[in-house]
Amino acid sequence: MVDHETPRRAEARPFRRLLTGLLLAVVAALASTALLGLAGWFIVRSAQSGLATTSPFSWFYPSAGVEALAVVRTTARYGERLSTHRATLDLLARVRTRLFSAASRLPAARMRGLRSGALLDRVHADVDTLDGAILSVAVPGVVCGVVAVGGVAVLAIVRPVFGIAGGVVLLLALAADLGISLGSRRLGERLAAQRSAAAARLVEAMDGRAELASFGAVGLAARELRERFDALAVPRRNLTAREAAGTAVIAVGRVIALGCVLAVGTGLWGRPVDPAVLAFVVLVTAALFDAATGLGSAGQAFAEARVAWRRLREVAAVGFTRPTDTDPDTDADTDADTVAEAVPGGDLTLRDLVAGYGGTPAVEITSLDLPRGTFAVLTGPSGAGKSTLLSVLAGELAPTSGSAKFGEFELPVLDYPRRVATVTLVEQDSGILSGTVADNLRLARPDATADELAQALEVAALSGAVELSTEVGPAGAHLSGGQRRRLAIAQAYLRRPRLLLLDEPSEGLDATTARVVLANLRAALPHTTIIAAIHDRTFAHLPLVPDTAISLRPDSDANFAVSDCSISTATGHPTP
Amino acid sequence: MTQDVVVRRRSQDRRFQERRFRQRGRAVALAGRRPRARTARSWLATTGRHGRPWFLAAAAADLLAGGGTVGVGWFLAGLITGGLRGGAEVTGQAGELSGLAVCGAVVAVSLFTADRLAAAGARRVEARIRARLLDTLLGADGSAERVTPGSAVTALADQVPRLGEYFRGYQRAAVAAVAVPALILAAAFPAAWVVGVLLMLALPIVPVNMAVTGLGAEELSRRQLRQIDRLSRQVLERLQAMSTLRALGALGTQRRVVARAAAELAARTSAVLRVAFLASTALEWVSTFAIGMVAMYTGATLLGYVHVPLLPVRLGDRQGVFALLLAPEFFLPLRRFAAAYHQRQDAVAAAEPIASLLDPPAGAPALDGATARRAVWSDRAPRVVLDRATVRFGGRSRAALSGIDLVIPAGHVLGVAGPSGAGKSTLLRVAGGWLAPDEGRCLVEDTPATDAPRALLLGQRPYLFAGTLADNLTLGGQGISRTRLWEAIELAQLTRVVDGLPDGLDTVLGERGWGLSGGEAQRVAIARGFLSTARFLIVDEPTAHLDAATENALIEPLRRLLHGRTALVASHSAAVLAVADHVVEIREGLLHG
Repeated sequence: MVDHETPRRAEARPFRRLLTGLLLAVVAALASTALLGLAGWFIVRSAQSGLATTSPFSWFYPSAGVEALAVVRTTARYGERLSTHRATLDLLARVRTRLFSAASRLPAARMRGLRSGALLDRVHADVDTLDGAILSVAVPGVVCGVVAVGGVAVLAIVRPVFGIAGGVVLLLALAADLGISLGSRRLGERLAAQRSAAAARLVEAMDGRAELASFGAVGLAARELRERFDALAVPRRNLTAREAAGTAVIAVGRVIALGCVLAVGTGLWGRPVDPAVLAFVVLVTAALFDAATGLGSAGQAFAEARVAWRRLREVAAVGFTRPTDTDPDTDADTDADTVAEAVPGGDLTLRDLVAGYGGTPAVEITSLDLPRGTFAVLTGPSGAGKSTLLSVLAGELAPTSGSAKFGEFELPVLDYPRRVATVTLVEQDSGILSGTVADNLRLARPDATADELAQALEVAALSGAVELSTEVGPAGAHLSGGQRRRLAIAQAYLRRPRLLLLDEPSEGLDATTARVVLANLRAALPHTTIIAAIHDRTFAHLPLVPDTAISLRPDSDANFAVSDCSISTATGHPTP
Repeated sequence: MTQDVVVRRRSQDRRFQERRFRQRGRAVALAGRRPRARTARSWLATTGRHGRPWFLAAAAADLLAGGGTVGVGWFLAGLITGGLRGGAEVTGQAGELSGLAVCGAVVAVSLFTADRLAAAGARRVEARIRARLLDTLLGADGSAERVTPGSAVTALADQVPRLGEYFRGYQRAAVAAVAVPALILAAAFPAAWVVGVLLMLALPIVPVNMAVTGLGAEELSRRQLRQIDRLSRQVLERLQAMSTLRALGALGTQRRVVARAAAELAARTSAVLRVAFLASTALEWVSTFAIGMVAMYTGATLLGYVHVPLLPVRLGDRQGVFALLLAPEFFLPLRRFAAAYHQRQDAVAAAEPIASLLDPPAGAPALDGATARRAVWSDRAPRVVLDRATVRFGGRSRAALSGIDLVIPAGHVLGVAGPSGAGKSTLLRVAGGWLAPDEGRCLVEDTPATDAPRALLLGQRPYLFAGTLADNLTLGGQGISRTRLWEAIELAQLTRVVDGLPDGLDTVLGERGWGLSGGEAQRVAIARGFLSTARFLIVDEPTAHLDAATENALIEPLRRLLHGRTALVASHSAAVLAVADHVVEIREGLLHG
């Protein structure tokens, strides 16, 4: 049913629901106000009629009116709550998805810097906090506005001074509530920061618990986490106290307004009104403040939602700044990933290429030419810039200067859909999702047949070790390091890229297996240019004959030990 | 049609569950286990005991507030009827006014106190649950895959606060729901007994309401929780694998997976809310009608229109108004209780996974913190014996280890070679006591490895915590002097790395050791080994990420570290294996050499 809806209708659905909810909320609030006014008037009029028994008065119609209003109020409130909550939940689900998309556009280096636990906390807690903006601010705000305008108007019709008293006191009370909530933004901000830090630490500790246990540091980690989570109670309590203060301010306002109205109405100040009318006026005034009570926590909710929104934007805004992407994810419903054609490709030509992180060049290549279909091995010690060079070729890292052309196409500025259709990079620490081996392989090619998947396992020399239906466990925990490595290679094979970049493909593999896997890849992808970055040491033991071996060496005048650090200033030069 | 949907959803759930069981093998997921709800309820009751004095005090304060409300009604009625009769005789009203003020103050103060008391009690209970949960989660090192970090975040950041909400509201509301209406009835009967009877007639709605809520809400809440857990695991996993997904061009499909999970969560939350709203609406309807009846009766009697046999013909003005004012107050605690009862359904659903984790039902495998509590093997090097040890992982046809017989004499270093995936890591996990063999046994000295003092693990992927480098080296160990620290750094050849860091030893590292390369992280792990007093080490691919020069320089320190200690060293590197006194090879789970 939902599937047949046009995207536009689906897009608008939460907003329509929200509008319906707002209308129902207004109906409920007006019915409630009318109910109180009518009931007050009716009771006092009844009492008066009873006291003066001669008065001809029908009690049937007013009492039926009260009951009818009560039914309308209750029913409308049910519908209101249902539709506003549903609309809010749908909108939040949308925000969650968008956030995930934004995170997917973060540059790899930035992604590593953002702690994944903190990001998860944002996806959950911050998004949840946003609901306050709708449910605690927008809905009661609209309700309070309508009831206030209508109620004050009715009071003013009875006698202008009632309208003025009710309206002024209401405004003052709301202003005071706003004043109280001003400080809560900082509190909300602190709470959110503390909470996400605690979640991030928890994820870290969970990931490292085997080691923690072996070093006997579990108790310490648990204590630190306990303290972090317990500390959240302090800002939480302060926020609650402010919320209570806001509600109390409205309650005080109600008492003052009622006092004013009573003082005027009973004749203490000015001319008294008919007791039945007074009862009506008193109860309408009370209803006015009832509607305002819904706004008591609005200030806090708004402040918290704003903090959450800002924090979400931090992630999203960073995501949108990636210039070389023709944004594959702007619209949640498009799937630009798989539709693009690969660029024709050709020879790989690097000229005066300089690249590095944080402005420090990690690799410098004056000139390098690889004909199409070359199998090249990139060797060198740690820190020589092998991974950096691969990142540039994969388009994940913008070079400081120079050019890297694949055929006629400049790789660093190629748009994401075409780039990903052309180049595949197998990173050192490749990610694996829980599910079966087949699930993970289909990440690379969703429409692959079982035969193609089996063939991919064959190429990666995995067919004996795992089956397509083997469950890999969370993050591939059921697989050994070498199997994870080969699964990543099988994925890359399924992409059938024109340019295949392998970062330490032999890691965790014994020399024989590594040679078999690389030879299979070469045979299976004869027209693909393959560049494999392999440690000097490993390469020395590999019975491997590539078409070309490119050796990246740290600068002769650079200190070797320093160049071993990834944060160093080492520069690599290819030696032919 | 609705039933059809429910049935279909159930079967989907079951399929999901089955799949999860396949996935985890023998391990049990945090959210996957489902003990009887009764267990969760009794667990809630037991856990709540730690805050009981606070909750009872809060209920007492609520009762006081109820008394105050009755007083407010009485004095307000007097003011209203007095005003009607005598117009502006302010002097006669002074007593009523001050009574109203006093009672109003009592209500405000006791409600405020009750809130604070209940919150304090809930905080205590929450902190206690959190502390136990953390100990259990982090202590369960033997089965890293049992509870995922995403599930842990959900449990601590989402489920525990839910329990807190419940403790804050429920017990107090349960007492108030019985005591306050009773108090109001006691006040209403002498004033206008017909009103009392009318109110009592409305009472049966409460159990009916609770039954309706209880019927569906618990299962719905449970599904919602499961969806939250699933969403959080899916999202965390995808965030961690993000750059791979991007490289594979799988972002679009994965975004749809997340979108589906998020939409599903919205639908499930909505289902929970629908039941809750329906229950409170029903209660509101009944209370509205009851109040309407009371109002009609009072109005008609005051008018003198009603001449029903047996009913009083006239009603005192003040009594009539008083009874009318009390009617809404009669339903207020009941409504609050209905809301809290829904919270209870929610809490039971949230408590199930937590309870099964903390107090596993008899027969279920416990996630114990035994390894963490065990002392490290430090006085002497142990002798390690594997006796036909066999390990099978769920979902795989071939045993990961089959019938391994091995004796490692005290103080010997055993090298373990073999192709990837042959079972090296599994053998190491068995010997270290993190994994119990399915068949056969593994003894350290004469104790099963899983119960023996623990071995020190130098892992394949060393974990660096967010914190300073010094903290990462000492792992919180007290009394390690800077001199010893620098010794270990020197031995692990980290000196120049530390010198190159902006703040030296006090440089703050990020998650997964941002700022250090893989090789450097590995050397930090080796330095940790030098700082430890352990005499039994498990070393898994110590040089996997190091280049030739660093590896060669590490062989000698590693030899020194392992000297006189019992150790198992898995590696592909001939140079590392040369450190071992004896080398065995594992192929397809079988021992060679």
